[in-house]
Amino acid sequence: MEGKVYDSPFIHLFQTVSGTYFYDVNKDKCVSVPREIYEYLEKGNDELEPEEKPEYIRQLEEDGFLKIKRVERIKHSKSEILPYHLKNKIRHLILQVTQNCNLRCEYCVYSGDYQNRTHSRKKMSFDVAKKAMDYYLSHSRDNNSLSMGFYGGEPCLNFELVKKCVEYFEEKAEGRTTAYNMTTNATLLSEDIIDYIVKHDFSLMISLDGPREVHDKHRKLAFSEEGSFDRVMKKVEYLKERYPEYCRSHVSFNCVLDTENDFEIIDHFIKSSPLISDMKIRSSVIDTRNTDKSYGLNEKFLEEMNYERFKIQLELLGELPTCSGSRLLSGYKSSLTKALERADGAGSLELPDEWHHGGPCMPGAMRLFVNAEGIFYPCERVNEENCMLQIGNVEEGIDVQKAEHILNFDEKRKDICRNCWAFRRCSQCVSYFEGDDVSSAEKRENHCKITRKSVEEDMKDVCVLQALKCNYLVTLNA
Amino acid sequence: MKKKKLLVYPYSRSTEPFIKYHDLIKDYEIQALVSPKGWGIAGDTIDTLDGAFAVTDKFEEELKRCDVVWFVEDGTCTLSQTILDQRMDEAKRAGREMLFFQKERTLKYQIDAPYLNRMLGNEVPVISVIGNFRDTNKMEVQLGLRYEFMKRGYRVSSIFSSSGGELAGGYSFPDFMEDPELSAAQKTVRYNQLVKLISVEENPDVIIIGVPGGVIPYSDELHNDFGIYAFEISNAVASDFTILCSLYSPNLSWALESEKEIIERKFSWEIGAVHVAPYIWDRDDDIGNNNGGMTIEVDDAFLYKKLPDLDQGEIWNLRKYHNIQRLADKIMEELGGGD
Repeated sequence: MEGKVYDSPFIHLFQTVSGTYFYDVNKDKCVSVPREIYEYLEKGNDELEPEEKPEYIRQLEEDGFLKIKRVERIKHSKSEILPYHLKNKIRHLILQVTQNCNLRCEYCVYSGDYQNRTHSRKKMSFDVAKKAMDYYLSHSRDNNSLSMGFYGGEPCLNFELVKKCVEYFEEKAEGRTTAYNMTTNATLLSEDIIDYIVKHDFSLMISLDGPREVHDKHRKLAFSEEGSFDRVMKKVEYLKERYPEYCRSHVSFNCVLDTENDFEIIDHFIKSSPLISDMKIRSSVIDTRNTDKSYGLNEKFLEEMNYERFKIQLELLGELPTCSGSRLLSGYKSSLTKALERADGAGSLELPDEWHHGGPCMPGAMRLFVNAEGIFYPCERVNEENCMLQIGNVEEGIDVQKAEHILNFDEKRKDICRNCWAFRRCSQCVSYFEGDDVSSAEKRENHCKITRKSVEEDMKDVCVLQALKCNYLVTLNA
Repeated sequence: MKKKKLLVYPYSRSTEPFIKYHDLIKDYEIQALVSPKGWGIAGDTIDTLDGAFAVTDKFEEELKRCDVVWFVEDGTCTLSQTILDQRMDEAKRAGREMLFFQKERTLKYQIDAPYLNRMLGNEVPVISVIGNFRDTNKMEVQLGLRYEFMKRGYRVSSIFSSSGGELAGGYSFPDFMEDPELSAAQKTVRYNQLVKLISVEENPDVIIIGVPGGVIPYSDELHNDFGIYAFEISNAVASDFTILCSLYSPNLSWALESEKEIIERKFSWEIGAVHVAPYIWDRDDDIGNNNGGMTIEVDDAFLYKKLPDLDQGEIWNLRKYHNIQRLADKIMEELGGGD
């Protein structure tokens, strides 16, 4: 093994209101221990002879816990089969049909405040789109169905191209089930566009940040201080009236949460608005990657959001009816349920010799994002100006070596990652990669701190629920 | 008699074994392999033992040059009924004969009433081809062995693991095995009697049977129906030589040891040889949650790199014909062949 020799158990200690625990990285399990054992582990008595160790510790070691093993090489387990995925199993194609937008949302990654391209008038040509679709069709034979998404800017600004793509694709994709999706600010959804997307069964994601005062804070019309809320709601109202069934099954809302706001105001709006209250919704906080801009944290936001998280936990304990917690945190509920299921599982024997933290999906295989100029990227969230993240183009196809390099993007941070206790649970992907310079490394370390904190909080939630005998299976069937 | 020219539609990898061993198809000559445009297969070349066929997506054009259309009924096929109906219409209007082996399948042999609930003995050696998952090249192994034993002058009867078996002179997987009105016990008895009837009527030297799907759960998520067919068939007829077809996995040797033990304990099938298929279970391909098929295809280069002892021990690549020949030698040695 290269570098420093580690001789201490690879664990992370933490406490909850209900007890003291350690997370064993090799076993991938959280273990409840008495306080005196917790303190023993905290002191790190690694040089004691076996007979000098407490019986409790010896038993844990016999059961496979407290191993010192770290991975030896940072390498993704799918590195060797990535070429086959890229050859036959590209899952989703996403076309950036335009880089233009009729809004200028302040937190938009193309606003100029992020390390990324800015808004422009560039439009994808049909020739580029055709080549992208042909490439996808010939590299997806191991999929049972096909999925194509339209992105921007605002895709409605180039809807003629969207229609041409759908017509071309439907002809070329004969024999396969096809699904289309589009992310839109909804302000330009004309009746014709709505009729078209309903006819072709598009899944539609509409950006809506909350009630008027919240939504209009950031989501303004281009070159204007006028907010877009009224326009969005008018379109949603028309869509829901004309195609109520379609809305229920195919339309969802994306709410970007500004932590300077009150969480409760947004949640109340989601619950009480007759247009939104029965619709699917997901949320995320404003993206802080690839930017020097920071957003404040309203203490009330945190309190109110944590209260809703608490209600979700009470749901899982059966103390509150299902759907008591905020729908804005449906992602939290889903991940908490999965975490409980994982905690119930057998865990692992030990860390493998080579591994890469689980963040990276397979670049180009899970999602193939094609920008207006025909350049390939691993997804629509990466910095388009970063050449390292360009994995090919419509003329030459995917550069497999580049894709593999991105899959293993943290190989250079080997000594940091392999000694990080949150290694197994880290979901950071290449969109967190800002560069190899010192300043980027500092920003990355900051993201790592946030990730470790988040992983620890999730583990604490799970441990508390387990201590309270949470039966998540009951709520799954509720 | 001149063979009728056959168009295969929709062609996919599940049909490839029939093309490779097309000499088994006595009544038809393969004319065209047609695949829907969106499947990404058109333009491929399919190698056979004595040549190759090209796959095309030009149904209307190829229809003119053929006499018969085999409409392949593959359970995993994603072709919409609308397109299928349209193609059937075209074939009908062009006056072409149409072959179906699933929807028009009837049991050739009818069992006499007095024997309906009775298990019958069988003296003909049985070779079973099973898998730990679907799509593990079971059909290719079944057809390959059928071809090889017939080439050596033996009489071979085959009950295949999927449809289309009649084309190759055998039988498709019996429809009564999927009849929801029959109990597991009734299916077991019927399968036993089917084997007996075939052995009496055809007097084969060997019977090759295929078991559909996977015989044991592959993972917590993929239970393979817990090997229900395997249970029924293993109770219906004893196997004299069993070949396990497996997906590739990184810990294959270790996994196989465990699987072999479970299979022997559950079904009394002792595994005589293992074939590794060039497919890997795509763990991220959640069944309910995305658009993928459940495996990813790799190639021979990958398999031989990851399994340096491939073809030298008990794990084989039976897509290579010379390995089918070597396996046939091994089977004959074990079953005392040459009589």
